[in-house]
Amino acid sequence: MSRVQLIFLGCLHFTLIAAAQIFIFNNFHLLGYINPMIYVWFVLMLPYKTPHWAVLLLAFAMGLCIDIFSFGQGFHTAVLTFIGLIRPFFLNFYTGNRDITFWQRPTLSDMGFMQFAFYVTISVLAHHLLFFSLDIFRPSEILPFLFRVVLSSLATISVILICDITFMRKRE
Amino acid sequence: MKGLLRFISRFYYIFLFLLLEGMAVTFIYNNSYYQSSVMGNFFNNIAANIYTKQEHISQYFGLVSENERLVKENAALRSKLKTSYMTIINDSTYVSDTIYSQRYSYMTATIISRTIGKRNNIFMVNKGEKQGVEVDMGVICSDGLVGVVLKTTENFALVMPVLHQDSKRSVKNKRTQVTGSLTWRGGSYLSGQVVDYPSSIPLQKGDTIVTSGFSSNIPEGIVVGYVQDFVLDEATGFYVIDINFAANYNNIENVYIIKSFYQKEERKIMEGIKDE
Repeated sequence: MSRVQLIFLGCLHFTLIAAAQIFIFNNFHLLGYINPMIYVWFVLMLPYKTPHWAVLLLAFAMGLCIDIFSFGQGFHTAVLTFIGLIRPFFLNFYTGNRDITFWQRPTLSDMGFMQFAFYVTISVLAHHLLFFSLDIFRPSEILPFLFRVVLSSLATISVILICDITFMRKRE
Repeated sequence: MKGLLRFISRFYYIFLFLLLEGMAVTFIYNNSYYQSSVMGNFFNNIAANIYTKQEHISQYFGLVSENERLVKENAALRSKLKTSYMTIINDSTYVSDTIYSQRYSYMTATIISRTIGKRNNIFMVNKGEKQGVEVDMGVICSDGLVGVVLKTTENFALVMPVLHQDSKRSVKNKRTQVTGSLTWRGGSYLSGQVVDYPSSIPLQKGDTIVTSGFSSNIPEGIVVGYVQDFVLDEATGFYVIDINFAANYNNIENVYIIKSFYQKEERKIMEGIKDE
């Protein structure tokens, strides 16, 4: 795989994930209000070797795209950019001594189930906690707030795991 | 100097992050809280046009249920024909009241995009200033109350549905005529709360809650929901009522935007009178 192919693939991922979020998952409302936010996956699955500035810019672009189409005030942008900042710190645990080629991605087949699940869980929890703090946090509504963070995270994590298993199989 | 340069080249991305985050925060603060719906007319129009195309496709899938709803509503309207007459011009329907001075006119519109799961939700409809939509007009659907118009552009309007923390509508019990105030605490879009409802007159589960007509932009008697449960707030002596909304806000498509001909006059008389 060449670098040009990799960039092309990135554009494809961006479009597909944004479209899936806007046209499919934004219309999902389990129990009335649980809405999986799979666009986080786009930032999580960028190749290990993506430079920091590219991760930040891509996260910003994705957040902006989602904000425009879901009448957000800018919360998606702010929170996803932050996830773009802390992603390398999470990944450092896994890339420590390994030899990594430029196209390798943090996927389930690459990291192993437990590590991948942990990586996704931590990132999604951080994202949802921040997002809902900005969006709905009020001291009087603390229980619905926590309830929503936990249930939405569970929904997002399961959708990301399912998508990863389905679309990111190891190429032989 | 060398050390500083090395520091910057190593942690340059932190500065980039601060720059981008600064931009995002500016977006957040430039949208004043009440009008907190979009990031500017440019983006608004792009999103609206794409959603219009999507709606054209997805409308086909809901045709059956939408038709059923409209047929039911037609039947309900037919039964009212004896008491009020109506003329139909284009797609607007005019209803006259008993003193034969027109009070409300209705305009049809289609919801092209909506949010449901957020704390404060927004619907976008495909009619705007060109078609005569103004801010603060009431919006209803065949099943019940929807909300009020929050913001308009040339061809589109944003509606603040009852699923929004700033939405406080005056409602009453259809059976006993006792009034209360409709709020939404977030959570499921299927249920809301009525507060400030006096407990002196008994309430029954299943009672119908309708609009009171106290605010000039929404007519009296539009169904809002049905009483599901209620508790007495000991401190205030008022009931807090859980209601099931009559309309399923996740799948309504066609709505009516209401023009009230007396709204300006009703506003004028309230001018200068303190709310609290």
